[in-house]
Amino acid sequence: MAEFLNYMAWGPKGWGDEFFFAFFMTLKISLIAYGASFAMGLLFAMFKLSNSRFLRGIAGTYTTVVRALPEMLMILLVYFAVAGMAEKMLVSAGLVGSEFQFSPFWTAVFALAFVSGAFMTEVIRAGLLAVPKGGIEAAWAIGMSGPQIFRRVVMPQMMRHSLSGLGNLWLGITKDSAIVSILGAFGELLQTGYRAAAATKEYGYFYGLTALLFLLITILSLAVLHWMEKRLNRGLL
Amino acid sequence: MDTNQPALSVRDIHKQFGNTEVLRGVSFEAHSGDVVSIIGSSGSGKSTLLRCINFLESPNSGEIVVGGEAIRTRKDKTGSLVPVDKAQLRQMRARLGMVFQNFNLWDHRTVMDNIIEGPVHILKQSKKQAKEQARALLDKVGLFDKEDHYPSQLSGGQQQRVAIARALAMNPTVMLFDEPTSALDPELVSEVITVIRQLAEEKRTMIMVTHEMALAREISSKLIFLDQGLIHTQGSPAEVMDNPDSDRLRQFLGMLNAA
Ligand SMILES: Nc1ncnc2c1ncn2[C@@H]1O[C@H](COP(=O)(O)OP(=O)(O)OP(=O)(O)O)[C@@H](O)[C@H]1O
Ligand SMILES: [Mg+2]
Repeated sequence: MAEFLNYMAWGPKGWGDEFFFAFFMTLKISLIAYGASFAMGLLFAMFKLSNSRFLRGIAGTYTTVVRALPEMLMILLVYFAVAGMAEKMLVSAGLVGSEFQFSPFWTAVFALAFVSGAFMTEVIRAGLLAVPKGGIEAAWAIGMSGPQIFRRVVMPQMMRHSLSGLGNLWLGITKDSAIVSILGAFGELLQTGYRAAAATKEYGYFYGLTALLFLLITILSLAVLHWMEKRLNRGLL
Repeated sequence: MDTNQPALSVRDIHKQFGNTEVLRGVSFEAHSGDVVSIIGSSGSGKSTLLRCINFLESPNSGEIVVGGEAIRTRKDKTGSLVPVDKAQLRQMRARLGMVFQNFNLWDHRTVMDNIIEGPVHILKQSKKQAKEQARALLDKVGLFDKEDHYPSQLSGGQQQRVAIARALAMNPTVMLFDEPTSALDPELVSEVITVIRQLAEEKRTMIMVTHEMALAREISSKLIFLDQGLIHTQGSPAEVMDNPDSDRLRQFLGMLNAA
């Protein structure tokens, strides 16, 4: 027992600080990727609902391809191929110097967001379709601008209709954040667990601890989601 | 606003959906304090006409003038009129209070929030001022105790009265009603009619599409019978209803009486 407490010591001898920071690193990766995924989902959902066949085609291709391939393969592809291409394009456009490279961290986060964004697109699309048209018309009729209607009428109701899907995607992304450990050492939870387990040979203990910390994230998330659900569902029958 | 100008002029409005011409040149005017009721059979273009007035539908040609100011438009390549100046269109819409058949309240907001949304975010009134006004309006429509309710907690008749209060809160030049009682259970119709009658007594300028002939007869300064996208007959309620001047009008009125 004392041994396990020693393992959790702060500083170079123990793993306490590593896990502490890993916990927040996982949260940080998840939050940034989720935010980006939400933005992509919103954009592509609007493409899907637009009148332009071209935009609908782009969004359809994106969601189909991403959902067809294994997540890990998709992330590897984005990390190694898409990011490389984007770098070359930026360089040849003269926007950046020839030695420009995305940081591995941001590339990994983007890869995660790119994959999650496809599922997000579907969730948000369904949520947007569920917003009553009559309320939008009433908003035009009273003299609101398009952006005002989007912010004040469409978004809150879309969120309400999408919340369970959005919540699932959040929980998914906290777990998928572990996948980026195959791309590099970002010090998130799974990789930290792996390093601690390998160094001490206490596999059960450290993987168990890692699991507990993921569970903690989930429990906290569920509490927040529950609160949001209550808030957003005000006035629902 | 120039007081000699009509509150609303609708000038030669044409509207087609695809190849069907739903409105084929409709013109009328409403002066301040007028109540213009529009009747006609289903599909005659009544809703479309009302929706062209505030450009929820873009007419193909014609002009809408509110209090002497025309909504500025140009033709786009599909042959519809489009507003040139979005800000002007929004201002004009704010002067045209619309009440829909299905209420169209924002069901994620309380009654109070529904009513103060326009005054606060469009007219830029202070929240305090807007709330005071909203309470007075709720009182007027008989719902002073419902400000914290959500639309889903109200009956249809109550929702429609909130929708009327929401439109009134913008202090519009003209109110547009599209069959405000048609979606209501019969026993809830009278509470909404009472409010509309009261607005007429206060000399609100109103354009109302309705099947409530008794109400139309009672409060209208002008009755318009719309048929196949044209004004077939117009005049005082007595002129139109008591001496129908054509078979179509007789047929329409007969249908209503039989129903
Ligand atoms: N957005 C639209 N696209 C195509 N056709 C439409 C559209 N809106 C209305 N129409 C057609 O235009 C005609 C007039 O419709 P409108 O809703 O104005 O009739 P109305 O007089 O209000 O009928 P009701 O009494 O049933 O409400 C109908 O034939 C309808 O099918
Ligand atoms: Mg209609």
